[in-house]
Amino acid sequence: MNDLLAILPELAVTLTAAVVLVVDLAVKGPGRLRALSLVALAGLLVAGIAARPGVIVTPYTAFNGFVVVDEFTQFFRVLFIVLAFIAVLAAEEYSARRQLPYAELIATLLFSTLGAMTIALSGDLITLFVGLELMTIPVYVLAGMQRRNPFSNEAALKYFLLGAFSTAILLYGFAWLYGLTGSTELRGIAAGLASTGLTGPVLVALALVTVGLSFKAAVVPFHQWTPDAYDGAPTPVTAFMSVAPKAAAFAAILRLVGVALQPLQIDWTVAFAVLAALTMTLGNVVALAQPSVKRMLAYSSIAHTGYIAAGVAAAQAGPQAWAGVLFYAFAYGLMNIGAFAALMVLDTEGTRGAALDDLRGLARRAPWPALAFTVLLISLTGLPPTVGFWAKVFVFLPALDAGLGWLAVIMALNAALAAYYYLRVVVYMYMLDPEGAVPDLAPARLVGAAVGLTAIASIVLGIWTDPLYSWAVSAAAPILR
Amino acid sequence: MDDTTLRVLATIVPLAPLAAFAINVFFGRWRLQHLTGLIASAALAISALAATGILLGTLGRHDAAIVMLYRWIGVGTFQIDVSFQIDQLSTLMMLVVTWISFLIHVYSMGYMHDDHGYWRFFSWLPLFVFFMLVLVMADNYLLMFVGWEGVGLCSYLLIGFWFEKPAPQAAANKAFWMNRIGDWGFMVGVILIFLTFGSLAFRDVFAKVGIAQSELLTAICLFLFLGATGKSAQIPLYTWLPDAMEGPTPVSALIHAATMVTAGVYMTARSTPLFAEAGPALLVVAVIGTATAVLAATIALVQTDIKRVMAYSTVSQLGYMFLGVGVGAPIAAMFHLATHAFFKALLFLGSGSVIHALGGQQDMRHMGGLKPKLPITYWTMLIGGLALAAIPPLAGFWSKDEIVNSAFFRGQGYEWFWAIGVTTGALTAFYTMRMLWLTFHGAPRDRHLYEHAHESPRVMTTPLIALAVGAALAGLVLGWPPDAGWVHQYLGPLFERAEAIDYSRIAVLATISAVAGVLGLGLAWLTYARRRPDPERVARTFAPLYTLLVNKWYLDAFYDHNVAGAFRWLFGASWAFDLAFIDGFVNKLAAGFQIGGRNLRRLQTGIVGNYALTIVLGLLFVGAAYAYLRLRQ
Repeated sequence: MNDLLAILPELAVTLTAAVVLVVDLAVKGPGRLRALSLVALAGLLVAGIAARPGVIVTPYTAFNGFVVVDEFTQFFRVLFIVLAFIAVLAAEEYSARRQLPYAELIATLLFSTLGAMTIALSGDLITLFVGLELMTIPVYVLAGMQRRNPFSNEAALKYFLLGAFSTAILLYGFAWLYGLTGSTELRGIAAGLASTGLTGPVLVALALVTVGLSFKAAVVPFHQWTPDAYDGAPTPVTAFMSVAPKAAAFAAILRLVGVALQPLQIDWTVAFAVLAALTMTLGNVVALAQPSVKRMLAYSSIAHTGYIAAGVAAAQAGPQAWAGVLFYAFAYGLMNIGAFAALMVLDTEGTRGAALDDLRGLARRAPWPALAFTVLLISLTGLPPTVGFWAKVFVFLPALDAGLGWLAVIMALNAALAAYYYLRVVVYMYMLDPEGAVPDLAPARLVGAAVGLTAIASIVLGIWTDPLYSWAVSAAAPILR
Repeated sequence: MDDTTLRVLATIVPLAPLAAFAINVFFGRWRLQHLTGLIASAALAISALAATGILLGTLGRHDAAIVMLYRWIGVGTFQIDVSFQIDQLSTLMMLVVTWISFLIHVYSMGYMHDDHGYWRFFSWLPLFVFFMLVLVMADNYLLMFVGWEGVGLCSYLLIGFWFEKPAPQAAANKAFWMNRIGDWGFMVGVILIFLTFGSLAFRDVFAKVGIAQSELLTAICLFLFLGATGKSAQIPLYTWLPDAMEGPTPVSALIHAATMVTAGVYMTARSTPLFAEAGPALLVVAVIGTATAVLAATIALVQTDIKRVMAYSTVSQLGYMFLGVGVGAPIAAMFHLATHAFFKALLFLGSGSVIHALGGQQDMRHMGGLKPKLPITYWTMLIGGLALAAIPPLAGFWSKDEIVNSAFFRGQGYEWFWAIGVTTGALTAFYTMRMLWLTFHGAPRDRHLYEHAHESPRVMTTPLIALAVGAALAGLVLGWPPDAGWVHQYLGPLFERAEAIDYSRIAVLATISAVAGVLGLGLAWLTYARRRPDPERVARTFAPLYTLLVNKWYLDAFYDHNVAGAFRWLFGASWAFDLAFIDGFVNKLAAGFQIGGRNLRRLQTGIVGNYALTIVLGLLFVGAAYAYLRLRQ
């Protein structure tokens, strides 16, 4: 019974997904989509309450150590629930316009959320792996949701093939770890590695695990699925898959390398530092050259991965470093899902929409969404007084403390690059007049709510930063010693 | 008063104007329109009442109350709270800011009535008040800096309120740039404070003032004071304030006379514990203050634009306040700040009323004889003018006298400050009388304007009357008896007390400065009413001096041609350098990035096999890197 209580939020999400499917069968008529949304949102609300944010839990395990509930778990649970909530808000109108199977879409999205939450609470390689797969497989389906659209199909297939490939690599790494230490429990592995010392086989396992997880987080050079998948998938799906799986991948990285591979910290910090530098630079440079805003956001999300990875690499600076990772993941999630939602205000054809030119003069046609989008872009750029500024500060300072001065310099330079392509969008919205045909505006009350909420959150968390940061600090504490 | 009530009131004070700003800026343009003025004024009334509540509730209290709203950020030792320090100093400032702002908001409802930017005006004005309150209520230097920058921004927006015209734009830019220089100094000071004391909260810093080396402390104080000279328009950064008169007159009254420009004085007074230990820093403050007071007063003698007279007069009076802080009489300086807020706001609003009556004419050469046309404006401005001229028993007399007397009592050569201060008092009286006479007396010089002149509506004259009462009585109510009045008892616990008060000497000194004031008035009356001596002849006789003053001691020109010229040359040179090298480099770099981006895009072939190959290569790379790292150890 206590075991079940430990996973109460996960149970709530599961139940919600099931109810959504039932309601889909039971309710007919014009109110069906709204009913589905309400059920999903209510269920997520219940799950969020069950995750009890703000009450510090003393860490405990359940299911014989397969499940760990600590502040870290709570932090990510809340993050995933919030992201799913915003994704559902943003999806309804789009799905109605494009005739997507809405009930399946939210149910699948909720299952993916469940997987992400499972990663956050895993105390064992098995749980971790189940969580990863439970999160990823629904996303393959989601990416291909628009069945008649070739790009959507391409996105799903590519993501699936490469995802399967990387999963194999990761699983192979897990097998090596088990073989070397005789344990699948994360703390057991740490104990085993500490006693075996560092041998060739350990390095093989480490390399396999690093690469497998880097793929999930879209770290360069394992990122190439990202632009194609983000670009081709229906925009509400892109909004979700650009944030939740990425945050979950970092949850997995922190659990795995922070706990299980802790004895090898010297090695993986160097690897992550190099990969972080590569990732943010390549993501930003290629984003510069994108004429499509959706693709630009896809590449910029790679750049943000680099910043988060820099926080991972700064592990030697102590819990502050990973508090920065958690804070950044939270902030990034809000900003990025909001930015993609802002694109849905435009009723562009097909999945690949929103060229830079489509945004010309948007400020005059849709002043509120344009304003909210501007706030989000400023936050993504990392300017005060937004949450994006603090996110950068909180990974920047630990990088300096950890002696990664060169990485800090690269981070600063990259921030300047990012300013160019993010603020260019603002210029298009506010300073240029439309030329030729402009896409119609979509009816966007719910999407508007999603964009507005995230924009307001970006500012509020930028002015009232400490509660979230303090929470991130206490969430990072059980992981990094 | 219990802590909860205090907390609620202290939150209401800044939040009410902020709420008014939020409502007006979002709904003002289309929905509320002329309701925006009412909303802003109501918010200010609430704020002012809350501030009064704080005063009454904390009267008996001698320690500062810290009202912490929330922790802004805490990374390691760097902890910044959004919290307010409610003590006598901040309460006094709150009262001045909220009440004067309230009156000016009411006045503006009439003054700005026909302006198509009405809603915009009533969005920026309460926002300004919000930032000003943050500035004076903050319990640490960083939050104070937030307010400091915020009022600068609002000042910029409001000077350039009529941005369609080129002059306000230029004035707004000038104010902005001059303030940037000052803000830079303030920022450096704040950073040095954090590096030295490890905290930015006033109470921590002041408690640890002993640990800093004297030279370092002096540097900190001078940087802070540089910030003050920018915000409070002192030498060398004063030339923006007269130009700022391009903004609407209520803005001049509120921001550029009564409140924002006093922020530097407040900050210096607040930092007294630092300045007192900082060796020559206070002397620098006194010298700059005195020099500014004289310089601005002499320029005010020959101005023909009614608002510019007032602007230079403000610069001059701010100089007095710095003199007060500099000679170790911060209480007198704060006293003068409060009385000055009343009579200078009154004079500005009065001149606004005149300008309003004359359809926008600001040049005194086109005025004259307006007294019967604008009776309320005349009588209220007369009271304000006599208060400015420091004629007893009006407000300005008591506060200004305390400042100059403090210099005298200090001895050790500080008597010179007293002498200059009293002389400047005579100049002040002269230009005030000149302004009043040229505006209201004599024969109308512009018949057409005179015929059409009319008294302002009730909504504008009522604030004038309220301010006139303040200008008449504030000095006596707050400052009697001299050096021991209410303001001294109230602020006393914050500052170390001076030595015993010698009333016989005060009486002598007060008589001297009163005589100086009357002398100035009389001389001006003789010159402009009796034309004995005839002002034109005086100007001709002392042509070099006159030209010097008309040209503002050539300092503006010097700034424009030499300093700004040097900067422009520097800007030009660096621009050329920028264009050739930096831009060249950056453009090359950007082009490189663009090309790199395009080429890197090509790596994105879209073929799954290629992607898988990359993953494998990446895996090999990571593995090799790990092996290499291991081998090296």
